[in-house]
Amino acid sequence: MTLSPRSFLLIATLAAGSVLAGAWAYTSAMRMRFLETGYPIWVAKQTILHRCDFGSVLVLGDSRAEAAIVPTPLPLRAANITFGGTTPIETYFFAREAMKCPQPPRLVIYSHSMPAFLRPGQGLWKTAARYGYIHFADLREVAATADAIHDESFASLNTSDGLTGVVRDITYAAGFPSIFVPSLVEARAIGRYETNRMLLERTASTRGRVIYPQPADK
Amino acid sequence: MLFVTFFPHLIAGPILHNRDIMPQFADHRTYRLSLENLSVGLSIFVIGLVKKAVCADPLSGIVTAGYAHTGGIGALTAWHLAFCYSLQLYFDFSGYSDMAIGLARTMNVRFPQNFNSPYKAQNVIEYWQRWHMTLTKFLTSYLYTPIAMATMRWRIAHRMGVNRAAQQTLGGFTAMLAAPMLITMALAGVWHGSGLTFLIFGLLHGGYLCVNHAIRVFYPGRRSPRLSAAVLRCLATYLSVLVASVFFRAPTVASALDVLTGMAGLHGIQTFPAFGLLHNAFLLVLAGVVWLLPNTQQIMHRYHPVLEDVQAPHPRLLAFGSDLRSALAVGVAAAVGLLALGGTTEFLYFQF
Repeated sequence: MTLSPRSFLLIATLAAGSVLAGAWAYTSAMRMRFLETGYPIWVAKQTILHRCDFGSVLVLGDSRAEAAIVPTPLPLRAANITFGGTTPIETYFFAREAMKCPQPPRLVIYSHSMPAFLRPGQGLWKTAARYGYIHFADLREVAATADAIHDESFASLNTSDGLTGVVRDITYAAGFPSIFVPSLVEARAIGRYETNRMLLERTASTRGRVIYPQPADK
Repeated sequence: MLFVTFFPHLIAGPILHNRDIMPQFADHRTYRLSLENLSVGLSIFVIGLVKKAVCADPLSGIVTAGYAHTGGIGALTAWHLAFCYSLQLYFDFSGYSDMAIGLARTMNVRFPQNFNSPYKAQNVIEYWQRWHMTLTKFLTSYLYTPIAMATMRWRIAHRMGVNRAAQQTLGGFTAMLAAPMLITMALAGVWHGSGLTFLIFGLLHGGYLCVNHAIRVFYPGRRSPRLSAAVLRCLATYLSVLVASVFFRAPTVASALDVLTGMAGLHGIQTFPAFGLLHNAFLLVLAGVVWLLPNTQQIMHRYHPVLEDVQAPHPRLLAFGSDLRSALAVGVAAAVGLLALGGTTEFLYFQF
């Protein structure tokens, strides 16, 4: 059956849309099955943050604090919601969320290594936004603040995907499935579930303390 | 102004001649929306996108890492590296050409063909008639022919022969064929980049072409039509191109020599690089696409995708048509191409 050009374009668009929608649905709903081992660690810690379950002491910062500060032996109830590779930009948003809790922490331990203060990192998009914990409005807020203080390091930062500006912010904040494809391929789509589930439980039980390296990805 | 600013070809070709394009710009039908050209152009573009994002880009990390550490490279690793790069370059550049041709077609403009399955060539002359074809035409018209003509005029002025018999003498061959060829290809090499590696790449191809022309001139005769002979010729041509491509990619002459001596087994065999079954299957599929399947222009031949005539694909099943099967294939391929953009790198030919 010969199709008119209009029908051809319509069918091709529908086919492309169906595949993209299917991929989008899978990558939104099944992240534990294919994302790298950082993801379950983020999920465990962000769950603590969203439930305002950090007790009296909240630890914020990067991987050094993540490994060094152990909440469970402390005399006060504490939680370590530091993340490896983050900068003060991500930490600012986590602290802001913590301060919205009915009972904000009495003590905050804040620890970032020096280079993190000097420039933004790809982790803002590659982990925080990609994992769904930094939203489009947050990314735009950072861009607007950087503009206001004439800091060009944010606008000039190149992520390895080649995207920049608003397009990059939309792509990551919306979780467009292309940003998950390398992980999908590495995990053969479902191959990391057991490792990730184990890491999620372990991170929750240690109140956020994580020692690197993590078990190798399957 | 329109010829200069017509953007689809600007990044990496095809190299356009105003003779091919200006008549199309002068045709008022070019400025009307054509849904048929739009669907054909987008289909060609999608094939190019898949070649670039799905086939070429996944090899980029392996090639970059491999050429960054070439010291003492073992034979299997060196062959694997050279093979990966030759596939990456092929899919990257032919994918880009397809995208440029497809984009122009959506605007009712036909571009010249730039790629015609170059790795299927059975000698190096044929290879250059299939690889970056518009560059070859440019080099032939504006470098090789003027140099060869100047040589011939000089020989005529000095009462020396310029006919076929004169070409079959060592002096005649050197003056009228080999020297213009070597100069042209050396300049072509330097056109790609200013490093010594690019000059060696050009001179190597110049040398290959001289040998090929010498066989044609001094030992004229019919080529064996047997399939096994054709496969051997194709393999020999590919290996020659592969060796030159090491210089094309390597950051320095020393690292290129590392890879080549590695390929020769001078650093030992070592084990095959551990990239896993999926990677090896991926390379096999790519090799199948390169050597067994028709190219984009052949698949699209019913719609005259380029200015030149194109052969029908074999098998016919792969011919693109205005049917449900092709529409679904284009749609799915477009989605796969978009999804694969997650790890996209720059076009290799962007820098040249």
